[in-house]
Amino acid sequence: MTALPAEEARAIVARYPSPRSAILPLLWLGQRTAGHVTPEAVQDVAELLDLRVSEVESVLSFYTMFRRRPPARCRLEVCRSLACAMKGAEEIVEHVREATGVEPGGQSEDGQFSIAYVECVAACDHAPAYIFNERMGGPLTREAALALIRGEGVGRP
Amino acid sequence: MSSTPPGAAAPAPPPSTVACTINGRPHTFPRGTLIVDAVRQVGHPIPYYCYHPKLAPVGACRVCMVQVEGPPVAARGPIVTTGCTTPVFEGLKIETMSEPAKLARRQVLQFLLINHPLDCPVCDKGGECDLQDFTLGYGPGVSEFAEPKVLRRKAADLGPFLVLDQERCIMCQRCVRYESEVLGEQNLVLKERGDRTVIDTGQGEPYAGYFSGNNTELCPVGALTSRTYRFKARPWDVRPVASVCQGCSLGCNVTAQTRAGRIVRLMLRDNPAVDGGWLCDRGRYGFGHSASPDRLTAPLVRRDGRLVPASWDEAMAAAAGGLRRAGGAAVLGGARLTDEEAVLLAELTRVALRTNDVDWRVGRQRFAAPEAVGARGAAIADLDGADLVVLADTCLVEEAPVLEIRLRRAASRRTAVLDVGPVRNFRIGRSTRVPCPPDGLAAALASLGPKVAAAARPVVIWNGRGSEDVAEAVRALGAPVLVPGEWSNARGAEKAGLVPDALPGYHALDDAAPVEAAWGASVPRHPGRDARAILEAAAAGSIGGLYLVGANPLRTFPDGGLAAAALDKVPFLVVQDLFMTEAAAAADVVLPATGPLEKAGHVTNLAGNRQTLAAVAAGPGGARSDGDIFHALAAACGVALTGRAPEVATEPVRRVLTPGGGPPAGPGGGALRLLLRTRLYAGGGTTAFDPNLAPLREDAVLRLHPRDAAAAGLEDGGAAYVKGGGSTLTAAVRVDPDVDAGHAELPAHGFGPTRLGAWVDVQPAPAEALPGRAAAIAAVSAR
Repeated sequence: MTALPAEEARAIVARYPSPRSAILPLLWLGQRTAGHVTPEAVQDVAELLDLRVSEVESVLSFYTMFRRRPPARCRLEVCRSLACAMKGAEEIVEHVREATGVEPGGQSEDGQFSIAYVECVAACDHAPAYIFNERMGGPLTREAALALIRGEGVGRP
Repeated sequence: MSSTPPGAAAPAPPPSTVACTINGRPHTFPRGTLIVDAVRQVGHPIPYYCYHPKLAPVGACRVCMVQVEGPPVAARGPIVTTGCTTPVFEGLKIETMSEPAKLARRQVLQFLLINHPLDCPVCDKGGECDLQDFTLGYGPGVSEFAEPKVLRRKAADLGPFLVLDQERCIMCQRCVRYESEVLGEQNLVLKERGDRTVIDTGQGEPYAGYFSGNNTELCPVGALTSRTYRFKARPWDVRPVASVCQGCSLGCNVTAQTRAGRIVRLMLRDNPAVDGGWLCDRGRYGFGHSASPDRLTAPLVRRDGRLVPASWDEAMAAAAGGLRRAGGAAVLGGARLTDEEAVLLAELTRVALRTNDVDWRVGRQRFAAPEAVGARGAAIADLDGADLVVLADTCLVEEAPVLEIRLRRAASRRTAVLDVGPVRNFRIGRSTRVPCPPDGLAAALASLGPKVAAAARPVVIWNGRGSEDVAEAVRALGAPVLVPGEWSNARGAEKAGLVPDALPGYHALDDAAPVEAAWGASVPRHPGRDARAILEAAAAGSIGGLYLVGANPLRTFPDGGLAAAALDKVPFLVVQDLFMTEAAAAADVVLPATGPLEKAGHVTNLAGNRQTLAAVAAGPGGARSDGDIFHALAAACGVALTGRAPEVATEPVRRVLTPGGGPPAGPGGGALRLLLRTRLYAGGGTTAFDPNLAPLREDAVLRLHPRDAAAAGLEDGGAAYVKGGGSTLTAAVRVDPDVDAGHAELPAHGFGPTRLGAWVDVQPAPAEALPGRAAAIAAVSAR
């Protein structure tokens, strides 16, 4: 095992009566360790749980909150569920696309920022809501979005 | 239901069945029967994709909608539900063609086609596609879906044999479930989710298992197809012929499909008693040798040191003359013949060549039928109900792959597997290893006596290798035995008397009367020599001529140095084969034979099932069937063969054989004990010459324990020199803890390993030392 901190990984496995239950927590551990889930981490999880790599890959690819490549420095996720969509979430993302050329779900070539849609983040009262580097905020504006991805504004407005 | 008066005969069905109606007619089914099975059994059509009789229900495709009414949903009136996940209930009214059921199916089919490309005109599945057929039968004529379709990968490469069209896939998950439930391998899984879900291998690597092709028959649409069949034919253009695979001794039943005389594909033909309705990839795709441009197409005779084409008459005269010269002739091979041809060869040997120097055992197997060592034979289906299976240093997945599927299934229930030997033979599923050195097998088996005796229904699987004491240990276990053969019809060859110390039908040499009566000729009574003794005599120059029938001892005989010396020294060599093998290249006369897909007859599989072989393809012009060649060769010797097989002796003789065909044992030479083991894609025979299998050949792959690898400085995926017996072999390295420390494993039928002797040294080699193909394998295993 090379991609997971061994002690922590074994402790996670020990928490569950069935080893398979530890797939998600171990993948989280992999993401915390390297910033994203590496192919080596997937192999480690499979080996640790005596599963096929393919089964772990199948689980991993099902969930959108796991990253398969190194994260951008500024990660903006914009909610587009009903309330946020009605408050203009998609127009904001479209504005960012026009200003930067980066498609939703994409990442800038220099690794500075990524932008993506997410489903309801339970902040409809702040619509359009967003998550920036794992912290929730809102309401988002075009200007705030551009400031966030430039790294000029962090935290709740 | 009315109550039955006491004492009256109870007319009610027993509680293990339930009565219900289907389309208004009453029926009774065992409790727990799924509606889809019930409907099928009584002959009503019902569409389905995800449902498959050999897989657990999943309810993924939703197209088997039926209307049901009655308990336990009586209060709700008629409802529409999936027939594949709902069992029949007492009093249930099932309607398959009611308007609500038809509407539900129509809508489901419309939904399944939303992102389907409708590229039937260029799809290999066209004409045998359930999506086509059911849409025609139950679907809407036109789609209401006007939006753009999701575009995905066409012709995605999933490995050597599989091609996936992601757009055609309807996510029934038959392939994923087969991989998981039947194989326990999960080579294919679902990835992503929602409308982005695709079938894929784990990390995009090529499909790694031995059973990928079954997916192409399970797939109800044109998503998973065979690379070898792409754009080759339409189902209505092909001629199907029922035959039997001769890739190994299991003899899986196949339907071969030909177009204009050429084989385009092999399909499974479910025989529950033999193959359980599965094929391995070597069997399914290993038909490419038949139409290979490298086939021998004319007899060759050596003139002025060179092999030149000759007529059959010239070749027969030369062969007959050479084999009857001073010193006498000996015959090796015959385990790839049909039963009938094996008897002809036995008659040719005894009556025309006047010798008992004949042996089919040009490899490591010594015994073919359990009865020949005094043991009881097991049926293949005995594995299903066995509580204990002893694997006597036999690796089913390499030696009889489809039998491994059956064992995995049994082991996933309650069968305990004891895996005896220096290598883990059973890798998927529960098993207990009983490690032993290669020459400690007899003792290890003896130690299992009490466990086998305590089992209610034990089965021993043993590949017939090892000396007399191993045979005795197997017999002493007292359990029914299956003997996977080193060649497809080893059992037929043994029964036909292609051994030095028994006549056809297991008659002893001093019990020759029935044989002589059948043939109308006398047979020699003095015991002949076995393969080792024949090769030793040839190497010593004391045999006049050697006749190799579908045999290449240079690759298969465990002492390659002896085989080389024999072929070098023997004054006259006749080789009968499909290809210019190493042995054929050394011959004085080469006789081109037809292959197992090109001749009719019968073959006997590892459990003694006699099966019928059909001539599927014509074979190259100029080649003749082995049987025709035996007739012609006998005629050239002045003998007319009868081909009659004498009755089997009621008490099969237990033959005593000169011990072992293995290389010299004992220490010295090297640090690691060499293990020669069967590998599915290694070796001679047709595998070595089959273009379909070429990407997978692994003639020179060294497997060894991590500790031995580390000690020698070898890395997984690297290259190694294997040295022993004054010989050096270059091999790709696979580090594998399943090989016990102290051993070095090489494929038995590859070219070279048999010259190394019993003990070898290994050391790192530069990657460029590997031949191209092995380098490719190294790259794959390094990934």
